[in-house]
Amino acid sequence: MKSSPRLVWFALPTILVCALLGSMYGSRVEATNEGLLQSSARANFKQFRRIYRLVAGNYATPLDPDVAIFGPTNSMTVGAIPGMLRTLDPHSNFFDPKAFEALQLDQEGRYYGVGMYIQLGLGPSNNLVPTVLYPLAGSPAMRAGLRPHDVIIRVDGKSTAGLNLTSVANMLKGPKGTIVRVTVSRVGYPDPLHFSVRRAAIKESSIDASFMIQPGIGYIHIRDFDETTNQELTQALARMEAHHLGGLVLDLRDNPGGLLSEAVAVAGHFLQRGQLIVYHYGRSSPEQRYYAPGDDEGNNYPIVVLINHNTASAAEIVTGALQDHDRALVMGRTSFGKGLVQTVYLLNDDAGLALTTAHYYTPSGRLIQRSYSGLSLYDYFNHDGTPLPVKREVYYTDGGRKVYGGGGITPDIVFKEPRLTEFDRQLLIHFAFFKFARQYVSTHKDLARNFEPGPGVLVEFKRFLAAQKIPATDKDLVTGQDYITGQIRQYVLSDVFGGQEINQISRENDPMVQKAVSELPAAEQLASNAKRYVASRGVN
Amino acid sequence: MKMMRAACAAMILLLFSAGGVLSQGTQEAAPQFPGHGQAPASNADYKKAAKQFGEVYRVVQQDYATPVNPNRIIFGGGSTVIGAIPGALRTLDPHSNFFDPSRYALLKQQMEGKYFGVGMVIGPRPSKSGTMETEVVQPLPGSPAFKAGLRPGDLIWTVDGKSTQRMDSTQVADLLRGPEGTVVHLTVRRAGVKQPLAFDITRQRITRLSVDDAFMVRPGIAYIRINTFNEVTNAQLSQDLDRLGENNIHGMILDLRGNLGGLLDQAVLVASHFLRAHQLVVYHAGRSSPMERYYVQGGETGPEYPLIVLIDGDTASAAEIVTGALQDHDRALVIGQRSFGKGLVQTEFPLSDNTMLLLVTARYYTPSGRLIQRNYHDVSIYDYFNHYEPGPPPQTQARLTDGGRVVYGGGGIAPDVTVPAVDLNSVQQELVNRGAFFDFGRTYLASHKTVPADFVPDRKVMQEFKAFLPSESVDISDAQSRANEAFIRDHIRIQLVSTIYGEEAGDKISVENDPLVNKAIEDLPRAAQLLVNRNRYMALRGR
Repeated sequence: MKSSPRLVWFALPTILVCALLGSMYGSRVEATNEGLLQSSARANFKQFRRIYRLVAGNYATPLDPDVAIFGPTNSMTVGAIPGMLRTLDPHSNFFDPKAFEALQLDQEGRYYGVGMYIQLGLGPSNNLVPTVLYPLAGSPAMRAGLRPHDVIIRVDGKSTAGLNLTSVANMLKGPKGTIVRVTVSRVGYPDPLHFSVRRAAIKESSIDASFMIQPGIGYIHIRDFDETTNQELTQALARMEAHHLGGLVLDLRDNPGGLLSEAVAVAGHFLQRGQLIVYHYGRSSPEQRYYAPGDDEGNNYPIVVLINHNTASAAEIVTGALQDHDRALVMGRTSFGKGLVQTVYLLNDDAGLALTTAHYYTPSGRLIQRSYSGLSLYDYFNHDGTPLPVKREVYYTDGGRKVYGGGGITPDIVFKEPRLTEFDRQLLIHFAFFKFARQYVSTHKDLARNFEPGPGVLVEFKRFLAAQKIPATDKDLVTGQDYITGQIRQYVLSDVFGGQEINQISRENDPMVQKAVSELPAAEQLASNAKRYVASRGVN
Repeated sequence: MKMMRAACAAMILLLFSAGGVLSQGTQEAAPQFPGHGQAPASNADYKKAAKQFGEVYRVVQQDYATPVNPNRIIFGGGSTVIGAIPGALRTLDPHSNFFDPSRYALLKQQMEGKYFGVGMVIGPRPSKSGTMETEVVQPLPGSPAFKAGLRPGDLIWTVDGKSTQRMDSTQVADLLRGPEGTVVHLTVRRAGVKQPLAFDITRQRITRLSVDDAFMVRPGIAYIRINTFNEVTNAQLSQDLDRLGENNIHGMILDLRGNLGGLLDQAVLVASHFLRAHQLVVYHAGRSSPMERYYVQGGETGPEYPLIVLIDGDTASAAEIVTGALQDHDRALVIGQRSFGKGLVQTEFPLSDNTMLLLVTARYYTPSGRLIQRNYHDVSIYDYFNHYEPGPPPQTQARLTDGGRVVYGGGGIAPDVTVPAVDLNSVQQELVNRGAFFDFGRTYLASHKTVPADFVPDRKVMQEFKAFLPSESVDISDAQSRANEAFIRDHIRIQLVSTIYGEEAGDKISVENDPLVNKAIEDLPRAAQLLVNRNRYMALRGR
């Protein structure tokens, strides 16, 4: 079971993707100024009001005006306002007061809860159960004594059986200062343990992994861009520079974006003073350009940026800027393609509107936004694998390399996660790695973090499969060897270490990260080629 | 069958929405909230929400990244672009709709059930070169086109001298329509005939039939099929019953399968044919719409003959009203599958600019007090219209019929005798979907010119059909063709007979072969027993 760690607060994935906001906050919208509307717009508005009055006066059953205008909670398609916004683009959204508060907390990187990561684990009767991955340092969950591997069986007395992670996460969240009762079962204790945890504001780090992956080579994963991202990056880089940083893997996979100002600051760390990072403009929004503030003296180590299909918005701005200035080599899969600036308007009664007011462009002039015309919301957000248009506009980086506009950032080096074979899938379905790891750990002591499953372990695994009656041929085992060893290592180590340590171990073992490290020389070459190119053009 | 193709798919929603359209003016009733219903929203709540909308609208108009089309954002555009008004209506129910001028005009035409033209259904057919041509799908029985001798499968070549190449069938249809009494000159290509055939047809008022079939399916047993309730339904039914002679009728099968509804007054009139004077047919009530009851007009005066109503999942709205009334009064035995469950009264509010709001203002109840409407909360509009339901509807709202039987409301009309729908097998589906019978009919008649009225395909015809299939890219094995022999034989027969002798002649054959109709004929004694039991029960209760 490869259930990726999941943040407790990750409750509104759609909203998150949709709410990657520009940094601008519109002024509070003040009352009527109909004079500003064109006459047809005014006539249509009148028509709307007339129809609304007819509905209000004549509908068959009692109706809730808030539902008719705002739509039911969490609906992005029905209701007058969502219906109107859906004619515009997939990222303009209305937030009722409750959703708007959650959005604001989210942008601050905060939420009210207990502060722990949860994931799906294997329960006593071989079912999937919500399990604590680890409590955040200093969080209410940690202070209350919750530990990695605790199986969450009840929240406030309600059984978690059959619930998905998001539901459990939502049960753990709640208003500030309230108490949530968490009942867990822990290995070695016959009876369930009860914890009463007081919910508090949880500050989630924007950077959830930063360490030296090899001597002189740093690894940083930025999870999203919230108000503290740049500050966290500054600290992380300072720590690494003390270790003579000579290369950096900047991982932006699964980063849905966030605040533009933070993206500009992050890109600014790696660019020279005055280099353009991004610009945007719209019908009523004059062009605005953002430049790197400082200079990168002592900061010209090679960089490889990792992206995937869930790299969006602010994360695409950083990637695009570093690619256009040949500052980094970009690796992975084509990014999401979200290049619309939303301005957040605070409306009356604490509702909010995130309205697309401009389009972003990378320094070379590429439009990041992917086409959305004629697509349903579902198809737009789940387009993974949809081919991009054949004819795409061509742009050039500082170093004269070709890059393409109109659909996310195309990586310089394509790296796709290997696809699972049918055999691999069977192993997952039968929880083979899960069970094997548990058995292995119980019989082998002193497992170190550099544990590497050798041929002996594979023989043991083969015997295990036979005992479990999971069909496996020698050919299966040989072809799938890399995958199997990787999974065994991952599951064994997460049984032994758990917590934050496994987070680092699994990143060290990630084939794409390893590939990125090996490409650092190519990134260095890229930068120096660009410098030479720019210099030669300067001479002419 | 190919005949169905021309029935414009986009209209289905409209048909659904047509149950009992009451016209009102555009007066802007100030919101008022009668006392029933729990915690009604206050006037201030409505104003507040509307103001919030105004705020958002203004911001969008002023600040959106690209120019904004005010029509699109308020009224929507097409099926994928929602818009403010459709977005608001979708929070209410699946049957409240906003009509832009073109959809409104189409609806009006549909509801009036008549237009001036030649009276035939036409549709697109792919040509050998891959372009689309327009062919006659079916001349309507008794229409000018039918009388002039047009046949299904004729390819429309020119209309008034204009070539129809490069036109789609909607454009061709527009050319065929025109003022009453004018002549349209038409040339067609017919398989097996070298020269184009020329026709001069005088346009007439074309009334779309509502009563499709009315004939004796057995001696003394009438079969009546009503496909929709439009302005002419009752008049047509009266005519048909006169023609058949009500005194000759000793049992009747009333087929309402696939009938999506239509006009309420027509449903009341149709039900009245079979009920006694002053019996209640239906009533409706809504928050702002006072209760209104509809009673039998005229009413049955002669002897009551046993009556069976056939329904299926596409029996909706006005057709459910008729079925519910006949069931509640124990007048008819209902056979088939549970009906659609559409019992909302929509009121037409014509607006300026030839647009219209069709708003649900009340709900229908059968005489015994059953709500016909099926649940639509937390159901996507797609699932709602395609009948994807988690399980059988709850058996709530138990009511008694006149004869003391228990019936349930809240989810369409449940038949007294459930007979599952017979699905076509994959071979049959393939043949029908490809239009194999339709196309074979055209080819066959090109060489044989005609068939006798009692035509039954013999072995030679069956072989010819098999040999023809590859040209339709249909590939069926000998075993498959043997297994479906009866199906194939019947469909060839129906196709050829209806091409030469008209739709009703073909329908007669399919009705005679329809298992549900045959089951209904067998069950007529049960329907007779129902009447006896009801009379006994009512006598006991002292009526």
